Amino acid sequence: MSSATAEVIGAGARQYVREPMNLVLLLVLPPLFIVAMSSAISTFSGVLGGNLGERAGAGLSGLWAASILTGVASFFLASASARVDGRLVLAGLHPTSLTAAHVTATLTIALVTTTVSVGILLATQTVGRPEVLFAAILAAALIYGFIGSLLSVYVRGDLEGSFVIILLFMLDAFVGGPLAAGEGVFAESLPLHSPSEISIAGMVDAPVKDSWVAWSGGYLLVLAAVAALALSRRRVGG
Amino acid sequence: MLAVEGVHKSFRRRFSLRPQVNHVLRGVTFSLPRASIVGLVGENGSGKSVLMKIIAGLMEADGGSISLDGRLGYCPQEPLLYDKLTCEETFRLFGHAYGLEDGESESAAEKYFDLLDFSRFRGELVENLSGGTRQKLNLSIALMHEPSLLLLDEPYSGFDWETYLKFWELTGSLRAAGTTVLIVSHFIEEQSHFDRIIHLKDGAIAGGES
Repeated sequence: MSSATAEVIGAGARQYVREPMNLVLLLVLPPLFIVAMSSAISTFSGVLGGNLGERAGAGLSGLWAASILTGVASFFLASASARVDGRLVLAGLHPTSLTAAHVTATLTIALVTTTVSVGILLATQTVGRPEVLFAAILAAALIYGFIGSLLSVYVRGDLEGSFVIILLFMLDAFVGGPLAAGEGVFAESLPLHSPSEISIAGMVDAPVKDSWVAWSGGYLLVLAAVAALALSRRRVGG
Repeated sequence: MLAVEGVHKSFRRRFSLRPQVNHVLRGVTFSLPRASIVGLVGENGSGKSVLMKIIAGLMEADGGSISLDGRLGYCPQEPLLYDKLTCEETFRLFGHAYGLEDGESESAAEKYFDLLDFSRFRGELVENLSGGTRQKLNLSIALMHEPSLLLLDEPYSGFDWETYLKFWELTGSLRAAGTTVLIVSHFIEEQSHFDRIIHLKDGAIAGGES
């Protein structure tokens, strides 16, 4: 890693922790989300035609909390800094240094939200295989983090970007996920479908299908590559 | 030093049933010699800020060419700085972007802290600075790598009188050291500070160049 990249990553981290509300949201929202949603998801699943038990519902609520928080936080971070990032590139900084900083931020936020979510689930539920649950929630958080970064390049405006992420998440969670027992090519190809299935398998100690792992890994790699490319080619008009 | 040749720029309204094209720049041509202070003036909407962004490389022209000899420094009208970094951290970060060693960045920071008299704010977050102090930092960042061409977009907005006078002292010393300074403004009060003034009107250079 070049010294310029290290400096940019360090500057990004300092800026993030100097906004206390960022940390509060990351640490407080997942527990609230899990406590509020766990039993409701199980009940709601029956209404939508699904068949989720309370433990599965709790696992899903943890995955939702981590993914939506990481997605929105990554969008805001990349969107808010876009014009100053452009000035740094104009000054001579290689765009890959900024891309590395944004990817590092997304990784860090995803790790924090995942750790908090899994910690709450371990404290309040019986978790069959915590390592599987952790991997599934981390994958979902990263997928939405990279979606947030990607949207920051193409969607102007905080409000518009937040709407797009929330609408995508609602479609993903309510149509493609296990909540409504979503089946078929469309439902199964939505970003959260496979990580959600893995998280439930982790909660209740059920087998994990290879196709779920392949879809999750594929989404993660493709979105990481596309988001990194888009960020490094971002042109900012000042 | 800088040659601008036949630069065109238009903006099209997207997602409209009746497409409209706004021609902002219509074949702008001029050149600037070394060691000069040049004003680029025009009314609001005359295209001067768009031209500045094209010269700086922040925007692409539809046609024409820009050729630049040497290092560029750009001071945007609105301070483009990270709010959650201190002044010192901002100098260090931009120093890395310019390819300066840490010692060189520190020397540049000290020089402009003293010159523009904002040393006492060195450890302060940008978000806590007054508008005038932000503008001092904004200007210092554009200068810290000793550019040969300096583009300043409304640089003295927010300066008090003392800083305004220091600004002209600074630009005078930059010119003496061989730097070309292009200053964009919607009005120019003291023409004596400039070697030349270019008037931009309706996207083209107006006849009355002085």
